[in-house]
Amino acid sequence: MTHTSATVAIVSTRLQRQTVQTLFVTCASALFAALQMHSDLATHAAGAAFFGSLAGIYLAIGQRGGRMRELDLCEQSAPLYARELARAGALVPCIGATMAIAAYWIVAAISSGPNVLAPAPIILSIVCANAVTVIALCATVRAGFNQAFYIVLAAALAFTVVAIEFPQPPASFLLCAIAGFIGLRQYGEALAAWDPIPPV
Amino acid sequence: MRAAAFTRRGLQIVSTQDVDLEEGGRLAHACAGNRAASIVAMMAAGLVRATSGNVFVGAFDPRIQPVQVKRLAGYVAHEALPHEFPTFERYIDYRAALWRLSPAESVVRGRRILADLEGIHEAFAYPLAGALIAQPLLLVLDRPQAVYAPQLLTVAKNCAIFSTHGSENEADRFAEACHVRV
Repeated sequence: MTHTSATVAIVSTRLQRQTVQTLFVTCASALFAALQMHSDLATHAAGAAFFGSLAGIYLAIGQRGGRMRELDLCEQSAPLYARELARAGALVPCIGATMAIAAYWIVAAISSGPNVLAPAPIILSIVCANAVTVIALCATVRAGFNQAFYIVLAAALAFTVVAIEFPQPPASFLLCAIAGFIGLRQYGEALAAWDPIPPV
Repeated sequence: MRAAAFTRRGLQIVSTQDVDLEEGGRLAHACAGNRAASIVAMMAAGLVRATSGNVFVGAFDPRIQPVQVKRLAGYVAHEALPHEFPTFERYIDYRAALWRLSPAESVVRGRRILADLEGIHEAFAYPLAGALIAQPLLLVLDRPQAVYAPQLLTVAKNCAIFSTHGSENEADRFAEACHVRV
C-alpha cells in the first residue's frame, strides 16, 4: 500500500462528510458573484479572493471536533506521520475553497461577461484562499487565545492580499506562497503535538 | 506505564498511573472518572502523550516513536461510530487504507471478525473489527461494556487486552465477565 491510498481515503471520507458545507459555500459564492453583476475585473478579483478565503476559513474550522471527532480518532490512531495527516487534512478544505472560487468565477463570467476573466486574478484568488485555509487549519489544533490568533491571522492575510492585489500582483503571490508553506509546516508540527483528549 | 500522568493548563486530569501488562495479558484498569479513563486509553494507544512519567508499548515510547506504537496497538474508542460509511466493507476499506493493508484481505478478515462478534451492536462491533484487521499485539478499549466480554475474548485471541473504566465497579464487572485481572 502506498502513502497515496491513505491520503485518498482521508480526503474522500472527509469530503463526503463535509458535502453539505462544501455545497453551501459553493452556492453562497455563486450567489455573491451574481450580486456583483456588471462589476469590473478589480471588484471581482477582490470579491473572489475575499469570499474564497471566507469559505476556506469556514471549511477549515469544520475539520475538527463535532461530527469529525470519530474520523479524527481513527486517523490519529493510524500509524501515519503527522505531516501525512496534515497534508491530507489540508487538502479537504482547500478543495472546498477552490470549488467556491470556481463557482464564483463561472457565475461572474456569465453575469458580467467574459471580459472579467483574466488568468492572474483567478490564480491569485485560488492561491490566496488556499493559503488562508491552511493558516485557519492551524487554529483547529489549538485552543483559547492561540486559536483566535490563527483565525485573525488568516483573515489578515486575506485582507492584505486583497489590498495589494492590483498594485503588486507578484508580491501577493509571494506572500501567499510563503504564508501557505509556513502555515502547512506549522499545522503538521501542531498536529504532531496535538492530544485529541475528549472535551469536558 | 510508569508514573504516567496527564496535565492540561496546570490542571491534573489523569493522576499518576502505574500499569504493567505482559504480552498476551489482559487487564481491566479503573480510573477516576470517564474522562480520565478515556485519556488513559489514548495514552496506552499512543494517541495522547503523558505529560509526566513514562509509557512504553513494546519497546517504543509514544513520545518518540508514535507510529511504531500505533502499529502495535489497536484502539477502540468509547463513542459510537456514526453510520457515515454506507457498508461495513467501505469502513474496512477506509481502515485498511490508513493502516496500509491489502483491502481485499482486510475485508475478508473483517467479515470473519464480524461473524465472531455476532450479537454485539454494530456501533461497537465495527470499530472493534476495524481495530483487529491490522492484527495488533495490544487491543486498547476505552470503557467497553461487560456484556460484550465473551465475544471480545473470542475475537482478540492471543492479543493483549487493556481496558479502561470510569470506576472500580465497572472495571470489576468487566474483569469478572472477561476473567481478567483488575
